[in-house]
Amino acid sequence: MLEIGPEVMLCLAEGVIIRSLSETDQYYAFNTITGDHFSLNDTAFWVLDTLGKPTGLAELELAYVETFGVNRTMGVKHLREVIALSLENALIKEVTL
Amino acid sequence: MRKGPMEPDVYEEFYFQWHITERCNRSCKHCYQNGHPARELDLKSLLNIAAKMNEASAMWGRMGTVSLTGGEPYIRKAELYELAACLDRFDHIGYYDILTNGSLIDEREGADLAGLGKLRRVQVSLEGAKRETNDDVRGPGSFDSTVAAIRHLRASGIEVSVMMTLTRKNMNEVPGLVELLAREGVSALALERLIPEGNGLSMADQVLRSDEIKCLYEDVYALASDNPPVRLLLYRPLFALIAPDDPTVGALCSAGNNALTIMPDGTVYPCRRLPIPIGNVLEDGFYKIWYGSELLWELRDPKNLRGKCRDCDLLSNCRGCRAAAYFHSGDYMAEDPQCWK
Repeated sequence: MLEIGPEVMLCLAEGVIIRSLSETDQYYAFNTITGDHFSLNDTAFWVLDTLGKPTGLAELELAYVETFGVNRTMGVKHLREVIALSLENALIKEVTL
Repeated sequence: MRKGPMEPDVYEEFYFQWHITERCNRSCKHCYQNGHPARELDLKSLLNIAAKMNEASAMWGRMGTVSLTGGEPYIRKAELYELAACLDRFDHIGYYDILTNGSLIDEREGADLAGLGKLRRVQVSLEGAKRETNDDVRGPGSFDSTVAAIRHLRASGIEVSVMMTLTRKNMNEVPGLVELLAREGVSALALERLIPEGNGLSMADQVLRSDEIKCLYEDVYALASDNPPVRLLLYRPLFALIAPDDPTVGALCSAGNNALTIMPDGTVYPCRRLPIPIGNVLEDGFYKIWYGSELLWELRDPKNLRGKCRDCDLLSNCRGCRAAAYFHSGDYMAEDPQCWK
């Protein structure tokens, strides 16, 4: 269960860069410190791209549902899965401003 | 044609061309060096870089392969052998080659090299089948010295390959060189195009025109198809134009795809022939350079190609030589100036 308080912001972890390859319509995240690399789907790419600047969870949820035009309950569920996986793999981090 | 038993698929390997020194006891006319001395790293730093190569190869699931070269690597003989022994111990380094002018290799050297576990082969260079053709470029006595090195190496059972840089003066000597190398027990011949950089700028008039390259590559392919005792290495850009359906012929430029060049001070280039710094391995590490270099990303995307390379129907196995484009036009994404298509 993802528990992130309203005072917490999310952003890309240090050394993480993301790329969209126009040649193949593929998306990737790279950790330039550990060397880890991940394939992303378009929604995960959008999430990490958005977290290029610190963003609160509520704001992110709102933007996600609006961007992809999905049902709010399903959208939030999917978004939280992406965030949990991204935290687990150290692609993003929590910051308290 | 088929690949030899020790040749990996080029897309399964990650190739490091490692110049441990810029110092050299020769001053070849076509050399890409510009004569400026480069800072050299101590052994501890060199071993650190070797460890980073092993780690990166493991992370990327590739077989790391290394060319230890210079300058003349035997000028740092002690470090060269320490590095070779170190690479021998690494699980993710498949093999390494030593690229040398051969002038410092004697009988004893051959025996020492035979004890190295992952040494695949030693590469020396000859610029033609004739002594005078070679010595005009590489200096007096270099032909005899190189042939002597080949004999020392072969006497110790070391596999040897030869590289020849193609120019207007030597383009007709490939068949003769193949015959010579066959007699000397050399296993492979690599043919490289002359890139007019560094000292090589003085030989800009020797760069082959596209029609000359086409004729030469057709002849080389015919020669290679005849199963000569010396294998001709045809996995280079533009060879794909000769036989588009032959999978053993042609290759994408490795810059940005599966290779990096490390200079004596740790500076990293996409390719030795494309000397644009993209980081320093000791300061940045391979991951930051490989994932983060905008230049490498530009090279990887064929949509960035310009001129006739951009819409070529052979993009899956040839994107031209980016270094040739760079030194011809100043634009490394421009069309390959020697392409005849």
